[in-house]
Amino acid sequence: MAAWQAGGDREEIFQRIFRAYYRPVHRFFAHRGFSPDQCQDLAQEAFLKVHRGLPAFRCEARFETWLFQITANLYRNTLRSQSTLKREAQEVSLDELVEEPGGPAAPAGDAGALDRVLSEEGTEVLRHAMANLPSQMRRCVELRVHQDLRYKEIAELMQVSIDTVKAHLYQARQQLKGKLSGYFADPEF
Amino acid sequence: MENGKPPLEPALRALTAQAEGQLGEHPSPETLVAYHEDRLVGEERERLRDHLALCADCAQLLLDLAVFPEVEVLAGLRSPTEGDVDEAWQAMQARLGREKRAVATPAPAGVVRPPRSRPRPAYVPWALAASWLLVAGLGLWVFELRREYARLAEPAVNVAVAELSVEGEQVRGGERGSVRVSSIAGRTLFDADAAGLPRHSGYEVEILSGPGTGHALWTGRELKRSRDDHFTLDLPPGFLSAGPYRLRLFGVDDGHREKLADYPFEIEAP
Repeated sequence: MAAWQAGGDREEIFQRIFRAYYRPVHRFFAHRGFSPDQCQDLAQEAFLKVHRGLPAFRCEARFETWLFQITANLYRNTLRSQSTLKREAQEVSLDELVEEPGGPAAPAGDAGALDRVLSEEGTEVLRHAMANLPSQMRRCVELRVHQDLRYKEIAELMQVSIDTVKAHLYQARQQLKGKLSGYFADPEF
Repeated sequence: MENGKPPLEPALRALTAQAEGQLGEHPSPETLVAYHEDRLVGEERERLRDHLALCADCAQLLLDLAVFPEVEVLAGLRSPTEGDVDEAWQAMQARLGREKRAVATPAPAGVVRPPRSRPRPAYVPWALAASWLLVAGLGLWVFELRREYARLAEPAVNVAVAELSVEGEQVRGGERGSVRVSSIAGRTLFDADAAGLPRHSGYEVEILSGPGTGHALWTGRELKRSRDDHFTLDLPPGFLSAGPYRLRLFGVDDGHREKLADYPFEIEAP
């Protein structure tokens, strides 16, 4: 980037950037379930935005962070477009869906899913126990159980040390065990 | 299952999935970067942490940001080879070339970009209408003036003559009858006494050049004999240049002309 700021050969600098960062950008999309062709198209789109934005880029920010922002924004916008397309497709075929036996499937994460797992009382007690955990402790539990993350990753996300994460999880297990022993087996997270 | 009790983890997952379904807008990548760089504080930081705890997508973005560009290759996924990168670069160059050409190519002929219009003030239509009326009125007035000027620049027959004694008046005798010639403000008035002339259904007057057999310079076809047996003709200033001329009267019956009188006269140089 220093070469760019110094007014070096713009096309050559851009080629160097492209060759250095094409793989990470491609992997970024691949990790999110896009097909190889889509990854190629999206990576090209991201670098097109880089090419357009480079003249205005100031070295106050890290180039990698700026590139990441471009990539992440492109990812979000692509998801949004896909979601809109899906919604429109669903609206078109709504009549057909209604005629299918059993109707459309219930969306994930609805209240019914929890009720199917727990009794009404158990649900309420669990909700109450989680709500009473200190915020950072509760988040650590959610990241550990819901997102199945490692201590290191939880520490990274919560901006605390790994030992703090371990301590939070230990405390959470103790508190939940005390409050939920009548309803659930001992926590194993 | 411990002593018949259900495990806690599936219930916790179901509970957090329910909470995840109620999440609002995702934080922007810029907000995630700000958090990563420890630029978020207070309530905003706590809200983001709550979101991260439930939103796997945002959590993964933040984890990727922390290691970017060292994104690990996940098992089962093929990372682009050097050949893939070359190919992608070729495609990139082609696309950049297309974009440059698109920017350099002017709009095709016949395509007119709409002008950027500002809202027009309410008085503008009235002002335009008033201007149009003014221009139309002026045009009409000028047209009338030009028509009047053209009319005055032509000789006129059958003009009303008052009994005035005008300086420079001459009475010229002809073959039959006489003509009184007056000069008023540059105009020349001929008043011919037709008392001794035969009567016809119509009359014409001609101005001929020269004292002898000159050619007709102008013909007045609507000449009328007045009640007191006079013919009148008014010549505008400058209609005839200085020199000798003749005024000739005709009687017309059924398209046949008969010469009635011939009056030679001369226009003097001013």
